[in-house]
Amino acid sequence: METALKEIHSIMNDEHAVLVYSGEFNQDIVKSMLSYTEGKLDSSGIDNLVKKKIFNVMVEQLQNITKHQYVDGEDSTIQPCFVLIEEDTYYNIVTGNPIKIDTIDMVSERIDKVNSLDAPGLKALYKEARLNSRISDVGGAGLGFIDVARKTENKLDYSFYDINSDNYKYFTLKTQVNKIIE
Amino acid sequence: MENLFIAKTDDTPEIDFNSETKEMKMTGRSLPEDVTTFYQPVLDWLDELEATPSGEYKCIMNLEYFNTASSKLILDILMRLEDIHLDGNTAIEIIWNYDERDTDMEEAAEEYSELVEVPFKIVGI
Repeated sequence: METALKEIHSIMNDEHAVLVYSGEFNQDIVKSMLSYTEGKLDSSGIDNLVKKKIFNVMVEQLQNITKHQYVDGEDSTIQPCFVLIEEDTYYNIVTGNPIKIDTIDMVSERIDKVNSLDAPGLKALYKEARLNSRISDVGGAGLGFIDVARKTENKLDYSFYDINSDNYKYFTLKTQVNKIIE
Repeated sequence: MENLFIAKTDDTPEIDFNSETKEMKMTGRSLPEDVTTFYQPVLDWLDELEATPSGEYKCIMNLEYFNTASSKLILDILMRLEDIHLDGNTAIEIIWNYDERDTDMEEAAEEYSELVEVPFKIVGI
């Protein structure tokens, strides 16, 4: 236990972690994380618009996990996670959650499409998707990736890791909010 | 028209629709888990307004933040306001206030204004 704690502390320090969380996600926990982060960023003196963008990306990524995190049966030991790290010129926002293997293609396609578009292309895609979307059973509108790409003006970086499960892999999504906005 | 008032929370805006002042105000942040349930009373109220010729109404948006699911419902609200306005029985004006440092919100307001045929003022504060 002590070794693990020292390692965790050392990684968090070296990586300038603002917030690290692993466990269940629900609306209350998401609200706490947002409130904590807002407070921390307020006292760090960062630009107001940068703070807004971080908040925005966090809401979309955290609510995505809240909606899509549920895992059946013995695979439910794999926890979703969230990490917010401060780098020199940007903030890294990383989320991880188990994802059903049969949804991987759809998720990859969506993100690849978003990554392939420039700002005008994303604007048009967002408009069209919003007009044609309906709120899903879990309360989502299918617009999160597009919105994050537009707000950050950066590519979305994603991976699927094996977790020794027949039905699930672990999906990680990394986005970047620049400290300087042109 | 009856008044509609929903108090603000951490993740939902204040809804203050007043039939004496003829103002529909939405103020705060919108990131509820269930947007459909939250906004249903607003949509129901607008259906009622569509059936009730009321002179003029102002819709005043003071939204600091909204998530993507809310953005869909806000579009639904604005499209209902457009229907009401174009029906000719109640004139609608939309005033969208935003923090002038928040260029993302300014852009969102501009995009909404392009989508609906209603007098639409965007005000940086």
